[in-house]
Amino acid sequence: MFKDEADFEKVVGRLNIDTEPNPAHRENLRRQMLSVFNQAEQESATRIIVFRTLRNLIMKSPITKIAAAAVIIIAVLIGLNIVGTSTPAFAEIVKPFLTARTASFKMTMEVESVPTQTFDCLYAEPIRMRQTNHEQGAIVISDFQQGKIVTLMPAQNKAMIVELENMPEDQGKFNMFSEIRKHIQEAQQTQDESVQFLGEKKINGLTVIGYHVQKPAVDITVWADPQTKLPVEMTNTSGPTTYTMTDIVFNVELDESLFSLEIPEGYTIRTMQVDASKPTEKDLIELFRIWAEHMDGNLPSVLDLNATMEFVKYQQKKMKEKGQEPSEESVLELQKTIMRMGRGAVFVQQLPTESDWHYTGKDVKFGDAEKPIFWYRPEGSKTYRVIYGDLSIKSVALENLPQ
Amino acid sequence: MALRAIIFATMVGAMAKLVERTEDNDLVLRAKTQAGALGRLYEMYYERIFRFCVHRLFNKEIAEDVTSTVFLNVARGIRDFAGRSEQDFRNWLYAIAANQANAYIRKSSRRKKLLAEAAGSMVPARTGSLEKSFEPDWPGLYAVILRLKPRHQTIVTLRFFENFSYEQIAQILDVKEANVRVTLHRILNKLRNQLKTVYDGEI
Repeated sequence: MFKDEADFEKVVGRLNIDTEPNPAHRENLRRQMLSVFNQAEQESATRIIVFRTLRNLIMKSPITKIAAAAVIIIAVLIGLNIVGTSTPAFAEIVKPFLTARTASFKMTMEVESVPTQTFDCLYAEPIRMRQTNHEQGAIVISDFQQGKIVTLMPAQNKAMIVELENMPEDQGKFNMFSEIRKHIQEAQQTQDESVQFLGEKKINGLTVIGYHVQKPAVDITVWADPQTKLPVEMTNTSGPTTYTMTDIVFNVELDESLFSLEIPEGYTIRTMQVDASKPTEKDLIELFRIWAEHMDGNLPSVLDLNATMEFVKYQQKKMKEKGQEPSEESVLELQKTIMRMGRGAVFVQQLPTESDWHYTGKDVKFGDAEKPIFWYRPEGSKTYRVIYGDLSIKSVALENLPQ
Repeated sequence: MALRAIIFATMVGAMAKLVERTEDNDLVLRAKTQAGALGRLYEMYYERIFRFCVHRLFNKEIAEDVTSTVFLNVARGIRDFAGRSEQDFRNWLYAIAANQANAYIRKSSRRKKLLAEAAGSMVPARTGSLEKSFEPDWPGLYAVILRLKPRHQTIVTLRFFENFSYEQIAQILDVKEANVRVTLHRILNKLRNQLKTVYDGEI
């Protein structure tokens, strides 16, 4: 046996332990890790651009103004789809858990280098939300059961109606509050190692207990009243963005008119139909095709909402060069084009980490059959789908992927 | 002349070390925004973390899974990582690895499975095995270490398998150095008793 520490050290030193790593694992993990890193960066960039777009909603150019509204709608759709289908921890929570019929809360959104924004939010069954941003003077009312999002700009007497078509059925199961409460219950009842008990603290004189939930794509801190088990404050952090829900009141009496999708009299209305079905690979191909068509044969430099602004600026520049003023009709057409491309971007955003997706289309000319521009591994597949510059697609084994 | 050359070489060597250290510190800062720098950190630490995981989890496949979780967490969290130096990064990395390994074995079913695997690989002790010359093999020692509290297992692994100093272990676990010393002393007593029990055939 061993006598002391030095002796034990010698015993351990003489052990024969195989710690030789597997080179394949090393390489795969490296690839996966960098993919996650890049994806996290793109998600952050997406949030920042959406936020900045919100902040700069009222812009000088009419074309950009309309495009900004389109970006907001895309952002709403991204949120809708991510919650409904792709975020693993949220996807696990499918059973209706919520007992609250209505709720009101404040939501602050903090992004690095951007002033904090606050939204007054109201929720009502089954899937209705009203979000008011006083600073921007915008009210967004969404009713996903009716497939409609209405944005009101009272100062300008303007409204936009977005009609969501082909909504997936399982979207109806999503409920923000059920997720939070489910996390708390899990923390109290299970030994799930991803849930860490934070102890007690006081919020506005109330003793609360906290849990930190960390899973892939989920980093939530919930402070809850131990008596009622209801959340008092919830913080969701992702990269440089933090959303905090406070002042949460459940089952508050809310007038139905607050969720009315009727447009007040005297408003100028724009209506748009948006395909809200789950995006597929075809939507990504469509994105590349439309982009090349409108961007002189080039492909996007990145695949996130930054690309939307790049697209809008380029169109604006082209119109300027031709001395054209954007007509109402052309602006609406452009807005629809952006929406169609947005589905391709959402497809990419929904790909799980394991898909190991890569985009290399920057500087590749549309039609180049030799150059791969995008590849990913579909769920359950052993091979990758590689899209080339001419938009042809091939199934490729891991070892034959582009370097 | 030769002496001057040696002095010069020493100076160059010292400067090279200094430059290397500065570069490493920059590396951590750059890794927050640059995939290339993160890739370099990965290359520097992959083997060490994998080895740590093997020592903590016995089974190489499980160690691979946990190593993956560790580095994927790093990829997601490095932008928010407050540390600046390589030492900060190393402490953070090992803290994540220790937490993930502990989280894995905290589930009793997994722990039992690891115990069974280690027990199955043990070379049976012969009668009179408690002679002074007797030493446990790796599966035997692992089976005994696994009976310790997860945090204590981490201390044993960091100290004896990864050769970390008390100070480094204290930094990783965010405790005082004296605490590590005292705890380790108790752990060794416990290990000695456990080994006696196991190899004496009492359990």
